[in-house]
Amino acid sequence: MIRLTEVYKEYPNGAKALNGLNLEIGDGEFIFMVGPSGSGKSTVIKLLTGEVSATDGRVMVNGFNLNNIAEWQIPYLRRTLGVIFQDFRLIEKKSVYDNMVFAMRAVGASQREIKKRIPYVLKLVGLDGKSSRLPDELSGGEQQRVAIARALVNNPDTIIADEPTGNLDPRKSLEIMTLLKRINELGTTVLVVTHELDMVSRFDERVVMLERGRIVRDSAAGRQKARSSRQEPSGEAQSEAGAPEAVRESAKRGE
Amino acid sequence: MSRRMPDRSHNFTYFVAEGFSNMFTHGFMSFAAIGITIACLLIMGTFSLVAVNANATLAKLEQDNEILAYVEDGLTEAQARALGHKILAVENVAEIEFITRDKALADYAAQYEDSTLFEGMESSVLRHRFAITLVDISLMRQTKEAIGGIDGIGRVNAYEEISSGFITIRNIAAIVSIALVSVLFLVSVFIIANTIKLTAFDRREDIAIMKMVGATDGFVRWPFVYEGFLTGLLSSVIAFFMQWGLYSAITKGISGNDIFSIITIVPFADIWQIVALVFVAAGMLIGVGGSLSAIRQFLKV
Ligand SMILES: Nc1ncnc2c1ncn2[C@@H]1O[C@H](COP(=O)(O)OP(=O)(O)OP(=O)(O)O)[C@@H](O)[C@H]1O
Ligand SMILES: [Mg+2]
Repeated sequence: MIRLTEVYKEYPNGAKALNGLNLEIGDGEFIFMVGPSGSGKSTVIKLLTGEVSATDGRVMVNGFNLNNIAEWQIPYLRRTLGVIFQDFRLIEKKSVYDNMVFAMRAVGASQREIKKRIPYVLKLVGLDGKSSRLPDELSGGEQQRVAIARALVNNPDTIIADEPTGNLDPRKSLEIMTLLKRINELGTTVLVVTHELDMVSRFDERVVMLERGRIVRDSAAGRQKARSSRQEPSGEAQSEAGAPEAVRESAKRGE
Repeated sequence: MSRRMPDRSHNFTYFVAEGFSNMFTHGFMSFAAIGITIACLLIMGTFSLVAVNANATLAKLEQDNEILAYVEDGLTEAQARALGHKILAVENVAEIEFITRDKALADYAAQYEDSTLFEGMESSVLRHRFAITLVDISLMRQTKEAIGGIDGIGRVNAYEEISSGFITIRNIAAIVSIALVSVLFLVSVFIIANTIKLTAFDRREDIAIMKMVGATDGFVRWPFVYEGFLTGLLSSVIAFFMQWGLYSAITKGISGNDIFSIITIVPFADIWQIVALVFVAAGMLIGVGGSLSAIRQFLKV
């Protein structure tokens, strides 16, 4: 479970990346985060992984209170998260299999756990049979599958992907998104940051939109309101009609 | 999966293997770091051994370098002996020995091969005397004055120029070796740190990935600590044997030369354990210190 309450983030150079952001992601949810360039999407991810800390507001991630987390606890927070980036970030000199081993060793997994877990995860992402390849012997889509496998290998509660399909053609992108959705169906919470609104519209999933460091649209807001009469935390005025179109338009402006 | 639990036991083989392979990836730089560390250890060791030998020589001289206090002529032997209590009461006096005129004459005679020189010489031309050794040779002048002030003591002979000369040599040697040791220590740490920084820089992406998947700082640090440790240890072992050879050669040259006969040489066999211990400790400290200072900046991910 992730909960950001009235979060502000100002970088040392004075850039105000987040301005009173409220966001709650329940366990097992699948959620897209969209928004123009510079709206603060990557900053949200860095907050969740403990890479940067909020200037103000409360941040809760998978049971860790990031407002008063100790330095030594951050590795244990990160073990609850699997992070995926646009540029894959694989170790070029290591085979697919050894990239997995590297990630498991880093958290102290035993040889036995490693032998058991890696084949299962590689099969899940559709890379069984390619485990001895080096990253540059794989297509971009396959490399991103390796990155997804690595994110999954330590069995995280939440997968966080920052533009995972930014370097891929539309067909490969769809494959990757479908894979992430399948992983979500197996019980993992998934947060995907993306620019590709065509892609977003193909999935009937929750979409939140950032602008200037706040959530300006949340497709779940209507449903939430219907369930409970709770006030929307951001208090943002929203036009209910044609919301998906508005999301698409304003996100495109940022590209 | 016990991912919220602290890591299992220290994975020694993994860390050492990583450290070793890091050393070989930058073979040339490791070679340079080992060479520089050996040079530093050798220079430190040589100067320290010079200081050790200077100290040994000085201790020997301190033992030899006694003050002679001559008793005034009018006193009987019994009266002269009685002065011993007063001399012992003077501060900084360690030991005294009473030497009668007869004994003094016999000693003189014994010093010269041609004993006919002293034949027929009356011991009464000599004085009774005290041979005095001091606690602290550097306070020789004050002690000499205090003894001279005792009633019944005539002249006091002391080689204060010689002793103060040796003290100066010892002090300079000590200061130089301490200064040199600290400077060279820092130089070695700096060189090793830079070698390991190369490895860490090479592996900065790996480090970032490790930290991203939740590796602790300790886990990331260990291979580098072992790399530094192994570099330092290897350097100190090589430096020890080189120091041994160097020391044996130099001391052989000195003891074969009459000019240096005043120098007391400490045999290597007497000090090799200490030299080995200090070298290994210094090598490990340099290596581990270097690696810790190198890795610090790469952990901030
Ligand atoms: N390390 C940093 N130091 C200073 N300012 C930063 C830093 N990182 C981001 N910013 C600023 O914070 C704001 C939000 O940046 P962020 O990277 O979160 O945007 P984004 O929504 O991920 O954009 P994009 O879609 O282009 O990736 C921007 O104005 C950016 O310039
Ligand atoms: Mg971004």
